Amino acid sequence: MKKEESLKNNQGDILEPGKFYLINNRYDEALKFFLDMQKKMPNNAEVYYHLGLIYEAKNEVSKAKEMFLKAIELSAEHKLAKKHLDKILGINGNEKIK
Amino acid sequence: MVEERLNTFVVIGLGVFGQYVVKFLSEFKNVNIIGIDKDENKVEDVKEYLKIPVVCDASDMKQLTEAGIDAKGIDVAIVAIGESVESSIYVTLLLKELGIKKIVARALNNQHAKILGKIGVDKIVYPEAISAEQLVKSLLSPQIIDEFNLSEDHSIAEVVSPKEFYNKSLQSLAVRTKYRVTVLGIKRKMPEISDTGETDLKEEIILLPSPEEKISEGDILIVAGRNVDIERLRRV
Repeated sequence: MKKEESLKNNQGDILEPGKFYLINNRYDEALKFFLDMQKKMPNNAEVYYHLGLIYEAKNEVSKAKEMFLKAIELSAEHKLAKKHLDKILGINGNEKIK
Repeated sequence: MVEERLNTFVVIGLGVFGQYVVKFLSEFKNVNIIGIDKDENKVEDVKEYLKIPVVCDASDMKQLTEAGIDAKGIDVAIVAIGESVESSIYVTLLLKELGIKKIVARALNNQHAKILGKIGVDKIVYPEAISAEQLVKSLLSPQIIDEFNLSEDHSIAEVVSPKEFYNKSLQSLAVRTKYRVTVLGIKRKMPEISDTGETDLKEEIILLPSPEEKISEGDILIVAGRNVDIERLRRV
């Protein structure tokens, strides 16, 4: 396995508990986990993407927007972060969440 | 099997407003869109959404008819011209002369709206006024996400569910009796893992939820009722 691939997989494993909380709608625990990860891995786009998802799920749209922007800043090709940011900004005629 | 009829819209004036109209229309099935503007670049911008892109001067009757604009071929004409009141009025008059069944026109000011009304336009829209109203509402009422006016006093609105509602059923909350609004639906974001292993949110809409339906954190309630009651719910 290539070094970068291994690192990526390893990061995925590290984030697994937070994803578990999120998938099970335990938003507050997911948020606590990813905020902690943000301190440990301040340049990890996945951490910001997941924080964006949690804030979006909680309808805290301004914070969600901030997190998706940061995820894109760290990883310009983050398609899912772009998709969610577009939705929040009302691009594609869906300006429902403000 | 009954075939669904196609509706043909012509949008005249493809500035920012006209382009948005084209994009929104293109999201509907069974809609054909003809887009007209003098400026080739503007037509090019929305070409992918148009059945027939036309670069022509819509204030010229000959050019309009050559573009296929007539009572038989067009169901709705939208005059979205935003640069000149005169052009808008002239084009609207030509459309009336052609016998177009329904004409919607953008008004640039009150005087313009009055003239459009006298010409017999079916609907007059003030996009700037609508945007301004939506902007103010979104700034002052962040809890109300989207709203559709049924009358001056009644609306259907999306309201972020208050914290007090979490994990409680609609029945136990007695929303209709306490807040005098009817919950028509619930928008719920469901976290999921995609086939590729990525985390995402899927939005579900529960239409006409049962009284036993429990409200989850992050739910958006689609409610119908008097504006004052919707406002009251927002303040819970």
